[in-house]
Parts: sequence; C-alpha cells; structure tokens
Amino acid sequence: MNVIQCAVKGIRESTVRPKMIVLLWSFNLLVAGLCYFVFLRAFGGAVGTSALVKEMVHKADMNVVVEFLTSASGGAVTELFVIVIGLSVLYALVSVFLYGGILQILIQKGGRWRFAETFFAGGGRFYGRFFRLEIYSLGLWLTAGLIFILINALINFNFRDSTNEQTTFVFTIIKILFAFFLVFLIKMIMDYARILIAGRDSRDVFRSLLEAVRFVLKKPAKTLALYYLLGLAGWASFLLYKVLDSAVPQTSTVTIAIGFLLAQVFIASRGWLKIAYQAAQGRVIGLI
Amino acid sequence: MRRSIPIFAAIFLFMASALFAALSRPIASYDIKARLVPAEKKILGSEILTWLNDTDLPVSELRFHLYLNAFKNSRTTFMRESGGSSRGFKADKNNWGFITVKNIRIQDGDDLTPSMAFIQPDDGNADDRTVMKIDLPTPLPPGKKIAVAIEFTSKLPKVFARSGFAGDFYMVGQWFPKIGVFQNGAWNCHQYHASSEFFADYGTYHVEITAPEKFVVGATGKRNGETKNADGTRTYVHDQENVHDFAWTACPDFIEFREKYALAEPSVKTEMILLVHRSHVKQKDRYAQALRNGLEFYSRSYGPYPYETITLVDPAPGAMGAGGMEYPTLFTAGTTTWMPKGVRFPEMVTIHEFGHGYWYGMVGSNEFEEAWLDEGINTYSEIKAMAKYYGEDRSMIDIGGLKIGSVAYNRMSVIGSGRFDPIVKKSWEYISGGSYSLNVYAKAGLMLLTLEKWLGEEVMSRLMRTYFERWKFRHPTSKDFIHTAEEVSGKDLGWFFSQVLYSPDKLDYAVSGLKAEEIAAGEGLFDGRATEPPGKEEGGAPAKPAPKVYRNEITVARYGEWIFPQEILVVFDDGEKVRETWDGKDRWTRFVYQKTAKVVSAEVDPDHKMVLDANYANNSRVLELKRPAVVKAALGFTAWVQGFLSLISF
Repeated sequence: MNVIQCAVKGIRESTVRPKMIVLLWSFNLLVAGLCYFVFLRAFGGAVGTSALVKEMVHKADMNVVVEFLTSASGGAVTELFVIVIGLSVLYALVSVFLYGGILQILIQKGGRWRFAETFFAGGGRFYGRFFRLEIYSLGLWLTAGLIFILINALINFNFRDSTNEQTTFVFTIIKILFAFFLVFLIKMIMDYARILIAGRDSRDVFRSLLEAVRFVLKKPAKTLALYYLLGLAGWASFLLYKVLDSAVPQTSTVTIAIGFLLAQVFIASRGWLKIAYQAAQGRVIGLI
Repeated sequence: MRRSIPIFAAIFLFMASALFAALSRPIASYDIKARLVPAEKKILGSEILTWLNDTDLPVSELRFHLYLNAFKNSRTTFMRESGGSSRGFKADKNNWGFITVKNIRIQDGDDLTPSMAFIQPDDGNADDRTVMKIDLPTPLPPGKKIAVAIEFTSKLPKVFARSGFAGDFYMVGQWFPKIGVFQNGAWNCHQYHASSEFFADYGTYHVEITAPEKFVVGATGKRNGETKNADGTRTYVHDQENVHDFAWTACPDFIEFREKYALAEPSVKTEMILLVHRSHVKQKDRYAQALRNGLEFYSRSYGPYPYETITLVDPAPGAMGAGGMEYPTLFTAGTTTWMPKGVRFPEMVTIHEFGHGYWYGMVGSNEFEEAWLDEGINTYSEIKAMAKYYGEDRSMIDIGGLKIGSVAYNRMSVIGSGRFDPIVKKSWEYISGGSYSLNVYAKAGLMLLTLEKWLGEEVMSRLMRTYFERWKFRHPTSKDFIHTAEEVSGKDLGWFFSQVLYSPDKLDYAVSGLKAEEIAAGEGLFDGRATEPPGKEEGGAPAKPAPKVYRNEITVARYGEWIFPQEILVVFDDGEKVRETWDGKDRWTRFVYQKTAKVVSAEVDPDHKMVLDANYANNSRVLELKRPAVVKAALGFTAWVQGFLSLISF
C-alpha cells in the first residue's frame, strides 16, 4: 500500500468513528474547561466591572489585556499560569490513556463489541506499557537534544562574526525547522512503537521502541511522507477554522457562542486527525 | 546716508553670520586628527583642546573622560555594574577596548604627562581608569584659555555599549580624551557607568579623519574637505560649532543617501545624510520618512533645527549594540533585514534619536545626574511625534489586527514595575539598569504627558518652547525645568513635581464602590406614630404608586501615595451626567445621591489626564458586570488552552 492509499485509509477509518472523535473532544474540553472558570473569576474580578471592557465585546483591545496582566493581583495571573501547566501535565497523562483506547478500537477485529467498553478497556490495558514507553522515550529526546545542540553550536561558530543578516536569518529558520523535524520524528517513532505494542499485544516495550526506530530508519521516505501528508490535513483544518472564525463577528451572546462552537469543531478535528494518524501508520507497519 | 548703507549692511551681514556661531559660548573646542587602523581596530589620534575657564575661580587641574577605558577589563566600574552586558549584548572578552594617552602637554609649553593620574570620584574603584586628572603648572585664571595637546591611541572593542567594531563596521563614539565640565567651583567629571550617558561643554570641533579608501565615512558636522592620500587612504575634514561631542562611523558597506530638507515655517534648511547598510537598503525610505517627520515635528514644536546636516547611521547586522544612540548632528538608528512595516521600531528609534539633537544636543543637561531631562523629555516628544505621524493607538505596533500605541507601550513597563526609585537620581544609583530605564524614559515621559493633560496642550506647548529657547546651548537642571513650568503656567506646581520627580510611589485612584439601592418605605415609629401601610390614601382609595427612589453611592479611593485632585463622572440611567471634584487627599470619599434614577457608571479621571495612573481598569466601574465581554474573553482563553493541550499531545 503506498503512502497516499495509507493516508486515505487512515482518514476514512477516522471519519467513520464519530463516537471516538466525540470522546477525544470531550476529554479535551473536560480538562481545559477548568480554565474557563478560573479565567472568568480572575478576569471578571480584575476588570469585569470596569467600563474599559465595554468595547471588548466588539474588538480585542490589547490595552485591556495589559491592564489585566498588570492590575490583576500577581496571584491571579500566576494561578492561571500554574493551572495551565498543571492541566498540561494532566492532559499528557490522559493522552497516554487515550492512545490505548484508540488503538484498541482500531485493532479490534469483527464480532460484537461495545465501543465504550472496548475503548476504556484498551486505555487501561495499555496504560502501563505506554507510560513506560514515554519514560524510555526520554532517551530519544536526549539524543535529539544533543544533536540539536551540536548543530546549533556548529552554525553559531561559523556565523559568530557574520554581518550578513540574510544568511544568519536563513540559518536561524533552518535551525527552527530542524528542531521541529526532530520533535516530529520522535513523535512518529512513538506512534509506531505504540502500534507495535498494541498490535502484537507485546509487553516488551523497550524492544518495541527499538523496532519502531529501526522501522522508521528502514523506510524513512514512506514514514515521513505519510506523517507530513497527514500534517497537511491538520493545517487545512486549522486554516478553515481561522477563515470561518474571522467570518463570525463575535459581538453578541449568540455569535460568541457560535465562535466557541467553531473552536470546538476545530478541537474535534484534532481528535479526528489523531485517529487518522494511528490508523494510517498502522497500515504502513501492517498491524491495523 | 547713502554711503552709510553699505557699512550698515556689512555690519548686519557680519552680525547675521556670527549669529549661529554665537548660539553657544565655546568652552571646550577640539582640533583632532584621527587615523583608522582597521587591522588593529585602533584609532591613532592627536588633539588640541582649547579650554576656557568660564568661571569666577582659578583652576589648578584638568579632568578628562577616557570613556573607552570602561571596556578595558572586567573590573572597571562599567563592567562591574553591568556584569559585562549592556542593552542585551555581551562584551566580547577577546576584544577589549581602551584608550591610551601617550603624552599631554600645554601647546608649545610644559609637558604635563608626568602629572597624569587616574581618579575615581564616584566609587573609588582603583581598577577604573575612565577619569584622568592632570595638574597645571600654574592655575588658570578666570576668563583665560588654555590649549592642551594630547596624543592618544584608541582601541575599539567589539561593538558594545554604543561603540566599537563589527566586521568592517566601525562606530567611533566616546573615543577621544574629553574634558569634563567645571561648574560651581568643582569638576563635574564622572566615571563611565553602566547606566549613564554623558555631559560636556559646548565648543567648536575641527576633525580630520583618515581611513582606507574603501570605507564610506560619516561624522558629526559638515564635511569641508576630502583628500586622497598616496597610501590608499582618504582624509575627511569635518567642522561643527555649537556642539559638545563628536562621533564618526566608517563601513565599506554603507550606501550613502543625501537629501536636502527644507521647511518654510519655521525656516529650516539642512541636509539629511543617510548611511544605510547594504543589508537594510530596502528600509531606506522608512528611515528617510521618519527623519523628515522628526525634523518637522521638533522644529515646529520646539524650535528650528539649526545645523546644516543631520546624519543617520544604520548599524551593520551584528552591531546592534551601537544602535539607538545620539551624538550631535549624527545618530545611530537600527533595524533588521525583515522588519515588518507594522513594527515601527526603526521609525521610533529614528525619531527618538533625532530628538536627542534637541534634548541632549542643544539643551545640554547632565545625563549622569538627571537623565530624565534628556531621556524623559525626549520620550515625551517621541510619543507625541509617533502619535501624530503613525496614529495614537497604533504608533508602535500595527500588525495583523494587533495595535499598540506608544502610551500603552510605555505604560506596560511603568505599571508592571517595582517602585524602588524616583525619576531624579544619579544614573548609577538606581537599584538596577531596568529601574534606571523605566524611570528616566517611560515614567518621565508619561509624567510629562500627565502634566500636559493637566495644564492643557497649549500651555504645555508654550512651556516646552520656552524651556528650549531659554536653555538651549546651556546646562539646565530639574529645578530650571520646574521654574520654567511654573512661570509659563502661572501655577504653583511644586506639589506635582515633588511627587512625580522625587518620590518612587505611585498614582492610583479608583472607583472602589458603586451601588444603587431602592429606598423602601419607612417602617416603624416616626414622631411617635406608627407608619401607615403604603398604598392607601384617605378614604381607602388606592394610591398612585410613588416613583421608586434610589440611594446611589459612589465610593472613590486613593490606593497610591501620590495625591492628585480628581474629577469624577457619574452617569445615571435617565441619561443625567454629574461631574464631581475631589481634592484627592483622603484615602477615600463618597458621593451619595437620592434620586429616582439609578447610577449606571462612575469614572475617576474621565478625561484621562492621569497617564501615570497605575491601573486604568479600576478608574471606572459599572453597576452591572459586562458579562458578554468577560465570557467572550474566558471562552477565548479556554479555546486557546484546548488548542494548546491538543498540540502538546498530538
């Protein structure tokens, strides 16, 4: 199966599983929803009764944001920051669970099965293994970090006395792109490792990780092409969201609600993409 | 009579030609020869300083600034205070900078070299060699001049704290032995500090700069000669009167643009010289337009630009440490190759640094001791100029719907900062470089905007013009500014300046409470009688319902230490608007109204005069929470967090 076929299959498999998309979206909303109340209290308390916010319903006013950041007691902003960090950690842990559920559903063969039961059973079944995988992946992150530091130092050394701003700028962009490439590469390897663990019901997590690395190194063109092809679908949904969002003037309760709904559709599309990635990559490695 | 006309005309022409030269009293004049040696990053120099003792006291010693010695090692006062970094750039420890005085003597007279000594009048740091003292064989009497010949070598550092080299780019500032200012019976000649700039007397400069032919050279003043030398170099002669410093630059990658600038009212004729680095040549028009704007704004607001040239230097990439710096008739700006049009950093820097030609260049206040007089006044001027030419609410940033004006930009740094220092303080005595910057730039600028809104634009305009006219080519102090402000406004402003200039506290007034309560019909005993139940008239007929009466309470509080008289605007739901005044002295006051109308909102400082107010948000209060706006913001934030979470776990 070639890359495009894999991508199409992955997207199709994702699209026919609306329940799973809704579930992923629900988890996201559930975790992030706490921020709504904290922000509402902090922002409302700091500037909510000020005439300054009158116009905010019509247009974003940076001045109000600045006043909020500086006038809200330092505690409110710090509280928000801590909560976002805390929720990020929580969501990372939840994601480990979600991966188990997604893969359990995707590898499920025919016969009668109930969605919720299977999803949550998968999440629980693979949680320990996927969590260990995250820990083992620190080795990959460390290696990638060292490679990046080396490349960065090499570039900086060669341009230490440069007065050619264009070249320096181009190399800075290259450095950033390279950093992203390394991040995506590791995320991709992790996807394959998870698929290997779930597809074979393997308990040898470390071996699965090494096998995933080997697989990616053996088929770099195919794996990378598929990864970035599906990434394009993500960008397309983001751009569509931005276009639709800017078309809705959020100046009334109804339109504000519509704007928020659009954001939720976009977040759901992120879940859809996540499933598509697992399904498509599972086909490449031949386990889904 | 007829015969006398040409004589009068000649006298008139002589006086007119002498008029410009007489703008300042030349105290310290220099005749300098400088040769750039690129291979060694050095300048070989000699100067003849003619110094006038313009005081009533004899002078027995001379003191000189040797600014470049600030970059000589890690133990200088500058390096200790800055930790080796300035304006976000680090000093290169492989390229120290220094200045060596080979010999110094009275012209055609005594050798003074043996009496040379380094002194540290500010901090006693023996490793600091930025101030040199020499003893005169005989005291110089009042009103007499002395000519001193000095040979020196200046080694430039890798661009750091305004001066130095980066590749083939050279910014040569603070580079020659420069005499201090003798005033009030003592030398005012401070060491070079991390958070300080400069102070010098006015004079006439004649400078001959020799550099390899490939370099494009720019310098303070007008070019009066250029000769090609046999050794592959060129010598450029620059002259300028009525200035107190001289800087120059050289780089083979400069592209020179010249443009005549003329303004009819007031009359200004000058030549704009733009030395733009090849990498930034696409931004030449942005620089040029900003400079035209600066020339127009400052000439019309304060007084006509009097010099024949103004040179803008665009530092090379990698030399931003030399950017954003002012010298007489020359300044450095700064940009990058890809600077979006909506990010008005090049425009802001150009207008600001050009403006220093007025506030520093012509009005020669002491930057060591009262930096706000140049930086603060110039920030105020820059804010006004940027607002005029680029829009009040978008003068700094106008990109993709994000708009930030200069006032908001400056408020950001002031209102979020600690309050450790007042505006007036010696530059090196602030708790940190950040405190120095926010006080002498942003806070002082906003302080003057507050004053403008307090006095009115017309009075403020007169004040600034008067201050400029009265103190140009002299050395004013804060007291002189205050005196001018009081004289022009006809008001006692001591209460204002004593707070904003000399106290680190804050200004913060707020509407701390707002409520409207319906006054219920009385219950209980009144004058020994029980009240009648409402709603009935004599004879038992149903009464016409009385209109509801509300007790409206507005509490205004002072959260800061600074005391300002306040105006309060109260708006009722029947459209009535009431303006109240309060002297602002107590910690709080309350306004109570019993009306059939309910209060809708209240606002202190409704005309937004208090630009320095630390919290605009609490200046106003509405009776009902603006829920849609708050909910919209909260939902937006939640969606942002959702996106972030999905991104980190994709």
